[in-house]
Order: sequence, then structure tokens, then C-alpha cells
Amino acid sequence: METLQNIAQGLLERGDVSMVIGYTPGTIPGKTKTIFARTPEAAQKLTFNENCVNNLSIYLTRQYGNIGEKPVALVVKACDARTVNVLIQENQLKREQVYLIAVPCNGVKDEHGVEQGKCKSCAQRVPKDYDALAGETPAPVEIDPTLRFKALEQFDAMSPDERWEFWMKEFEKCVKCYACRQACPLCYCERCITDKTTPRWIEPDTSTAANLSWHITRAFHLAGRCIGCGECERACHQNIPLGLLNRKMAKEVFDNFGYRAGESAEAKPVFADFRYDDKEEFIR
Amino acid sequence: MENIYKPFTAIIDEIRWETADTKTFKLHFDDPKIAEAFTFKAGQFGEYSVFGEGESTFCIASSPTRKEYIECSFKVVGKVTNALRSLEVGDTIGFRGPYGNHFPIENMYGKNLIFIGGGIGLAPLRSLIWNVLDLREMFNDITILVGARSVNDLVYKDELTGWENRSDINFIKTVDPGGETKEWNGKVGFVPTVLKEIAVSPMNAVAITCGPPIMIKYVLLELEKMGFSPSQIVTTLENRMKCGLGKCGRCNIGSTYVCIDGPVFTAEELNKLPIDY
Amino acid sequence: MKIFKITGTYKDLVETLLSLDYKVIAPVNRNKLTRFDFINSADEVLSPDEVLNTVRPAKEHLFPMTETVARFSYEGKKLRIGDVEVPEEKSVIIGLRPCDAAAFDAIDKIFSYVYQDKFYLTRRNNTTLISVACEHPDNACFCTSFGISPDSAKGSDILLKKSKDSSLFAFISTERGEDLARTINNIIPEEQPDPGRDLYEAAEKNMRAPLDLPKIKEALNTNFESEYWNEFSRCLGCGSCAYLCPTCHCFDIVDEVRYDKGIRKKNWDACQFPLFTLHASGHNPRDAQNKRYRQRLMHKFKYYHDRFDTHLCTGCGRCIRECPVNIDIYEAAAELCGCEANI
Repeated sequence: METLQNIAQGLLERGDVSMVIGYTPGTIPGKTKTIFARTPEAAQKLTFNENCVNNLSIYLTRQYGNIGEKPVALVVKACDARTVNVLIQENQLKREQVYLIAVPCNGVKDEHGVEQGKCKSCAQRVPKDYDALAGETPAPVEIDPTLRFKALEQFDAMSPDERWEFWMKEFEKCVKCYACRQACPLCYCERCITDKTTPRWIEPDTSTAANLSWHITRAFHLAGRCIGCGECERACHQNIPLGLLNRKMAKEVFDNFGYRAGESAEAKPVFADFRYDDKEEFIR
Repeated sequence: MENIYKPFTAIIDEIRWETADTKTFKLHFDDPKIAEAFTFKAGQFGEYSVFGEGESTFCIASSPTRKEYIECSFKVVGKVTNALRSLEVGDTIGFRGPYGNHFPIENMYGKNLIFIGGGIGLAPLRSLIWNVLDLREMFNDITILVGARSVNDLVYKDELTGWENRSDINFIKTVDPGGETKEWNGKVGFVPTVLKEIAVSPMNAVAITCGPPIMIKYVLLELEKMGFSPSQIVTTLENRMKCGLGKCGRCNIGSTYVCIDGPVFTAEELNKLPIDY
Repeated sequence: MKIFKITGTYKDLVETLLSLDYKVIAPVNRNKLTRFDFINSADEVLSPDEVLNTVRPAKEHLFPMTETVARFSYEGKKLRIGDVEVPEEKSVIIGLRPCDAAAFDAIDKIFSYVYQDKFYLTRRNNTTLISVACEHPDNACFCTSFGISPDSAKGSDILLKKSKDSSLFAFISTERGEDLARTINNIIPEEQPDPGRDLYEAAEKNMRAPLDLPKIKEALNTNFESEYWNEFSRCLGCGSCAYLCPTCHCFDIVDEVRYDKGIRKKNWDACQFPLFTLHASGHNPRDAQNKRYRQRLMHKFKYYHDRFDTHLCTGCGRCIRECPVNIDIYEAAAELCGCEANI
């Protein structure tokens, strides 16, 4: 069994990768921060524990400019690896540009010790596809995959009016800091719709209506793409349950097309796919 | 307390196309009391607004000696300038200002002045040039070097001809190589190169320059080679601004707010600033 | 400074305030979010013994997230621009922590120098700040770096503090505070000796050690180009730190129009967004995230101090607690001047 640090050290010593992007202890108990290890010595600072909530695949997106001629290594949990798959599907990078160091994961917690919503329904202890595994292959677990839509039940049971009231109360809180967008590895648009001014699509103020149009637009743009890593919800200090919106879209896509985002880097993205047996008349 | 964000209204009296993408507006204030009370100094700027689109920052391009009106020139690049472009004579715009510091004209009396302007960068210089020309006897020799990418990109074409014909101005015009036409009777070459050719003396002189950042960079180098000390070189900067009042927090270069402490700086002052512009 | 004894509990005091002719703003937990909001009953108010501080600071009540600064309308070609009045309403913010009260002192400077921002200043002049000393600062708190302390009265009109035996005292440092205190019958108008700061001295020990601010500033004077700034290329570029900061005050000016009428608004803005400094020409002086983080730190520890002789940080710790990638301004400031971050 190889440790995370040793795998990373070897990669850097051999010059196989330009850097290893991973976790290192943070400044507050229960928090971790990102480290870009560029030297074999720096690799010793890498760590993995149940507080490694962040989805580091964000640093593979083009805005960070980390992908150069040499591949970069990325420490991934199963969910993070699914994001990498989507990035590959969407031509944001090539599989060979990233060296995936998988870490076995039994669920992660934030600094307050709260287990992340995504973990409760996750049976995947290691990614399907990786280049190296740090640690031992854990024993498989059985968890009903539809559990991931459990949180929606209560929400779907509401009347449209109740639902409207629920969301208006939530969106009232938004301060438009865009932490949801910035923390999302799939919000990689070089110019976000909110930043476009000619014409202005979404009002930049924090009225509830302007907040609603932002969050709904974002949820639609992530439909069939969001793998449910929960970073948007975690980054939201206003405690808006953004994950619910994304999960709702994921459920619609799953129910209608039997598609789950990020399962494979080779799969066609659901909205780039076309089938002759599509149930909708208009598209045939 | 007054509302510092509330603009005056100003009416467009005249519109001139300077180039394919640059326009000049001649404006007067709607309220005669404001028109009467309004004063500014060459180098100051304003916030011009098209309501519904927003505000945009440009210098006042006319001379403070011409009291009946103000002029501004702008290049059509963004949301507000596109909206400004579509306005007609008689339309109303918003104006806040004048803001910022100004060219140190009081330090220029009795001196030889060298103006070096590139492209739309001539606009702030034009305010000072006309100010100086209206008080011509207060200054010694005046040299004006004007450049643009091409003949079509020269702004204030009629005025350039006027300056060229005056015997009390040493006027040089140039266009970048490839930008000339068959009829072009000026020089062909980049502004810093032409500046080197005309070799002005730093003795009792002040050089005032404005243009694209790359031009300013090489003009400063050239002037220093000619013996100008950084305190003899004056330029004007632009950074993205919103309020113009030192509040909104984006135009700063280090501790210096361009909207309050600038936009006019000597090269000596610029040398002390971090490269954040 | 005048010291008076308070009868009854903190909650009783809030109740009295509600009976006066003031709008009362206090920390509440509304819809899973702790923030300062208008209250109608003392029962809604978060107890200072239970909650250290709110996620959202009180700043938004003097400097709202979005605020109309001018109105305009067209009648044909005729443009009319209307002013916006700021109501002269008396309000009181109770339950601030000393860091948040001191923050208003800091931002007063920017809104009143050269040009007076009537929107902020009118509200500021009509607002009385009652802060509550902290008995249990957490491991992100570092107010002592800025000459503040868990029981500092800096910036507060009235500071509420406990003696060793848990009696409540009002420390009044301004006329505005005195004016309000006179109308509160829970405050016994008989000056008291200082009850001491035993509780707060103990509290101070749990906090991060004070930063060496002069040393940091000296370092910042010379390390604009330091390699260390590259550390912050991991910053995600969201506005969390700025929007939760009690001293960040940057804004954007935006128009909103429906047919021939519209408003001009000031909206909060943040230096971490790339568009903040993007020129229309496409040039951006702060074109990378590490440069934008440098601006943030420099503004707080150097630029603002150069100009106003005060730091633009009061050590409230919100940006540290809420940063999604654990960028820690205390650690950054310490490491920049070659010190070990003593957390």
C-alpha cells in the first residue's frame, strides 16, 4: 500500500507531473486548505482526512491556468472524480492531462462536524477510474442510490404556493457574493451570464427577484451536468439550500433520460445526445 | 447634505465624428445657474451618464477658458459609450464633476511646453493646449507632437490643421508605419521614434503626454534619454472608475486614488507607485 | 466615559428599547441565518451568551447591499433627475460586538472625506450603537491586533459589560449614548466605579495573539512583487470575505430602467471579482486572482492606513470562518512579514 505522500513524492521526483493538488491542514480545526505541491518536499505536507470536503477539481478549470504541458496530479474522492469526468466530457481538459490520485472516502464533514448531504447516499468509496490509489481498497457498501433524491420528497410534497414561499424566503438571504458560482468546478464559463451587460440578463442587485433569477438560471445551466458535489451549498454562508435545486434538476434528468452526470468521461453529455427513441415528439 | 451621486443634466449642442469609433460632444448645462457657477481646470474629468445604461468616465476635453460649454470625446467600446453614440443633438445626458486634480498649469508659465499625444489620448491634452493657447503670451515655445495609428484615427483633424498653420506652435504630426495615405504630409513613425528625431531640449521645459499605455511607456524612456527629469514630465492616467469621489474603491494604485489624487501625475510621482494600472 | 449599572437582564433592556421611539436592530436567527435585523419583540433576539457573532455584520443597515441614489424619467427628450431623500429615522443597533462597532469608526472615514456620502452619513448620525463585550471569542477572533479587545468601547455609543459577579454595566462614551441612556429606565443614573475586566482578560487569552502591525506595514511597503502572493492563486474569487466584512465598503453604480423611468443604484461590489477593475479597453490591472487578493490585504493593512491612519480590519474573523478555501487573512498578514502565524 502506498501513502498519499509517497505517491505524490514519486510523481514529483520523476517529474511526471508539474504539481500535485491536494489537501493540507487549515488554520481552524476541522478546516483544510488546498496545497499546490511542486516539490517532493512539499508532497510531505499533503494530507487526507474526513475534513477534506473541498472538491479540488475546480483548480483544473482554465481560469486557474494550472494545466500546462505536463499533467497535474489531483487528489480525488469518488465525487470529485465524477466532476473530472464532466470536465473531460465537456472538453475542458483531456484525461491524460490529469493524474488522479484516488483517496478512499467514507464521507466528509465540515468544520462543524456536519456530514455533507451528498455522503449519506454515496456508496462509492473510491472513484471508478484513477491512476493511483492512496491506501487500501475499502470494502464495498450497499446504499440505495435513489437515496440521493430523498431530500426532494418533502419539497415535492409542497404545493406550488408553498414552494414559492419557501424559495422566496431562501433567496431573500442571498448577498450575491457568487461563492456558489466560484466554488463550482462546472461554473467555468469565461464570462458568466451575470457579468454580461449588453444586454443585462440578470439584475445585479440583491432584491429577491434578482436573486431568484440568478439561482434559477444557474440551476438550469447545471442541469445534467452537476454531479452533486455540494460545494455551492457549502460555500453559501447564507445557508441557502442550493443543492436542492441541483438535485431536483438531476432527478428530472435521471427520470427522463436515465442519465447520471459524471459516471463516465466517455459518455455523451445528456444535452449533447440524441436518441431515435426519444419520448418527445418535437425532437424526432 | 447634498447628494454626491446626483448628476446635473447637460444638453448636447453639437456632435462630431472624430474617427470611425470616436465622437465629440459639445454640451451646455441645462440649468443656467449651474452653467454660470461651473468651473474646472484642464485635466479634470467627469462622469457622463446615459440613464438606464450607466455612467462612464472621461476627461473634459475643452478648455476652461471657454466658459459657455464643455466638450468630451469618447471611443465607443462599452455599454455606456454605445448608448452615448446613439444620442442626437438636443438630447440630454447626465454629468457629475469636475473631479480629480489638474495639470499644474501654474508651474508652466514662462516655460517651453512639449505636448505629446497619441490617439484619443489627445483629448485631455487638448483641454490644456487650448488653455495655453488662449493665454499664449504666458508661455514660451510650444511644441505639439500628435500621433495616431492611421490617418483615419487622428482626432480633432480641423484643429490639427489650425495648429499646423500657426506660426507660434511647432507642430508635428505622425502616423504609425502603414497608417499613412497618399495625401499624408506628416511623418510616418511611432510617436517615441518621432520624438527622438525632433530632439527637444529639456532646458526650462515641461513635457505633457497622454496616449495608449505602451506609447506612454516609450515616450517616458525617450524623454529621460533627452535629459528630462521625471518631475518635468506630466501625464494623465485612467483606471476603471465608478464614483469619481474616492469611495467606490477600484481606481486605486497602491494608496493613491486616481479619482482624487490623480488623474494627472508627474513621472516622478508615477515612479513611486506600484505597477497596478 | 461614564459607567452606570443596569437593572434587569439584557433582554429587559431590549424590551425597554422597543418601547422607545427608535427602530431597533439586533442579532436574530432568521431562516437559518444569523444577522442583524429589525425586531418587534425581545424574544427574537439572540442572546449574547449563546451566539458569539452573526454571520452577516450590521454594516448593511448603514450601507445597504443595494440602495437607490437617484431617480430619473424621460418625457420625450426631456430628462428629469430626482434626488433621493434619506429618512432621518432614529435607530439603535444593539448586540454588536466591539469589533463590529469599531468597524463603523473605520468606514466613517471613507464616506466623509472630500465628498460626504449622505446616504451613509445620515443613517450613521441617526444610529446609536450598543455593543456587548465578548466573553467567549473563538479561534478566528483577533481584534486585539487592532487596539480593540473583547470589552473595548471603541466605536460604541454604549458598551454593555459584566462584572465578575455577572452584574450588567453600561459604559457610555458619547453624547449620543448619553441621550439614549437618559431615556432608558433600566439604566440607573448614578455613576459607578469601573467593575474591572476579569471576564474579558480571561477571554483575551483564547484569541489569536496580536499581529505586529507596524512590521506588517513595513513589509507591505516593499513586497508588492513578492512571490508569496502566488499562495493566493488558490482563492476562488468569490465575494464572501468582502460581503461579510464589517469594513469593506466598495460598491458599483448601476442603472435599472423600466420604459421611461428608472433608478440609479449603489450595489455592493468586491475587489475579488475580475470585473471590478476591468477597463472597457479589455486591459485589467488586476488580471489574476493573486493580484486581487494582494489588493484586499494591502487595502486593509496598508493603503487605508496610509490615507486615514486606521486599519480596514477589526479582527472579527468572519472572512476566516466563511472562506470556502480557508484563506486566512491573519495567517497571510503574519507570513508576509516573515512571522510565524500564531494561531
